[in-house]
Amino acid sequence: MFKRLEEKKDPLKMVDSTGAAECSCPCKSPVDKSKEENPAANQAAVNLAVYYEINGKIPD
Amino acid sequence: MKEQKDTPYCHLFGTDSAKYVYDLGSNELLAVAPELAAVLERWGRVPEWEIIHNLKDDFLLSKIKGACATIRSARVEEGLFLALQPLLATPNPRLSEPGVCDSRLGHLILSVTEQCNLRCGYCLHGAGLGWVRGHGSRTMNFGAARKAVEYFLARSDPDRAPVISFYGGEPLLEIALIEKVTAFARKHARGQEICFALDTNGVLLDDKALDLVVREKMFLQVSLDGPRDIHDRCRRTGGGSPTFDQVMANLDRLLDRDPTSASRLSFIATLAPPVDLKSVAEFFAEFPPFAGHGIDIQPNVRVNFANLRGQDWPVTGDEWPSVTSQLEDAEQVYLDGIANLCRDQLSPVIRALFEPDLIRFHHRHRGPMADRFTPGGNCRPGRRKLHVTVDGRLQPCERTGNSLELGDLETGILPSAVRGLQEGFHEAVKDRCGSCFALRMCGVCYAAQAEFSNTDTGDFPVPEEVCESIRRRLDRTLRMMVRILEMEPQARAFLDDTVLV
Repeated sequence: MFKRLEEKKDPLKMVDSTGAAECSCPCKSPVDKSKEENPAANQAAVNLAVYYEINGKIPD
Repeated sequence: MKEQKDTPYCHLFGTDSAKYVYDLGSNELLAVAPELAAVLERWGRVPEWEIIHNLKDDFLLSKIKGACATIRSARVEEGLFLALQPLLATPNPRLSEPGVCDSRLGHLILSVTEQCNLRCGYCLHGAGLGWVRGHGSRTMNFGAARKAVEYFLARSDPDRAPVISFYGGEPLLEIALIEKVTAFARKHARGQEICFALDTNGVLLDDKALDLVVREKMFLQVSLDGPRDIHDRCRRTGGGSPTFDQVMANLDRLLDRDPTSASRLSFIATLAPPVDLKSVAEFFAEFPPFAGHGIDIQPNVRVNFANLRGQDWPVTGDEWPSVTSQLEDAEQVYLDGIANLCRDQLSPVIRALFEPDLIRFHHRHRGPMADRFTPGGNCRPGRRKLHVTVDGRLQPCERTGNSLELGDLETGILPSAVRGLQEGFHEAVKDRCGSCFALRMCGVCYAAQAEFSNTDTGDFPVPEEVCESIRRRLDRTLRMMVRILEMEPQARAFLDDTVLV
């Protein structure tokens, strides 16, 4: 009656997510592995632009 | 963790052909039978006999009873459909202790000037808004910049290359200062590892600036809104002159000097009404500066929608397609491209509109929810980004307005300020996050508080409209995600070829 659509990757329950374990910081930036010449630098370049993403500014 | 009545902590949604559940307790995405979706929608809200009564005209009785049994067994055996309410808590107090809150820093942002050579139509800094730094005449002096760099590098994350970026106003107005700062930073023990980045409008990339950018292999983020007519509509000098041709000429000269700089270039395209998404997408797909230099990679593009709140902006006529309908078209173009294994041929603008959220969702923690949960995306302000204003104040990032501070160059990051921000954020959201389906994917942070702050009253709210916006966006991501997950495995393989940094 139901089907999982993805593989379950993290079966263990965290006791506490009040640290950084599950932080969904909007400054985390997705990067293609193949282009990952330098993740930190990629982050630097894209971090400067995330503000509207942060606040979900896609209009209605 | 408390049980909240018996209502499953789930988000139910559907596409044209199927029903789905995003289950908060397990953080899993499930395809569900229609009768199970119908029962889940009512479970815990009304008695079981009433569910059966209400659904008996739509489904066979055996199917409805089967769905009820499935919910019970899946709760026990699979940990699904649970009625949970995590204890919402501020970040672990250890994160705001001295020596922790100011350690393993990642990215220093120096606002080297408040001045800008442009007066873009949608610019927040030129809009006279109370919460954001306005254009001004102040610049950072070298003493302050040196102190910031010393402070940052002494506390930077030893496992990652430190990043120092220059911001403004237009930072290239202070090219001499940037040269001095880069030279000083390079002499530090970690100097050779540093990645420098520059956020620029691209107009002042003269020979001197290009020398520096090429020599230091700087990462440039250039504001470029699209083809000439779109870019020049808003991005003009103080005297009203257009800037597109100058920016393109400067990009050509940069690529002439160093074609490898293409991989360190990124572009921020800001969409302001009337939005013409198709033209912007085509422009970056063909991207003349790269095509003219035989560079066969796609430009790295980020797309923003202009934040016009509080600004006087002309109303767009009805003759123009709405942004919503343009986004729907773009969404279909994206999904068709993924389904047809043509992702590489999609415009970087189309990808930029949807992929960051899809990739973030793909890399989420896929496991049971913790008993204690910190809402939002703000575990340790200052760690990933530390912004220094022209007058030496420290902030969580360059977009947190005028009033949210972590200390200054004399005090460094103050543990009390870190804790104060964490607690203030928690106070603003704690009463409504516990039942929100975006809880585990929410990236609302201090930037939202800054935008809606009232410095007269000292209020830093996170308005419901921000949360609504996040939920709409997650709902769209979920709908797109299930369509991708229902495609051939090859079509979605790209998700595993990405990382979050």
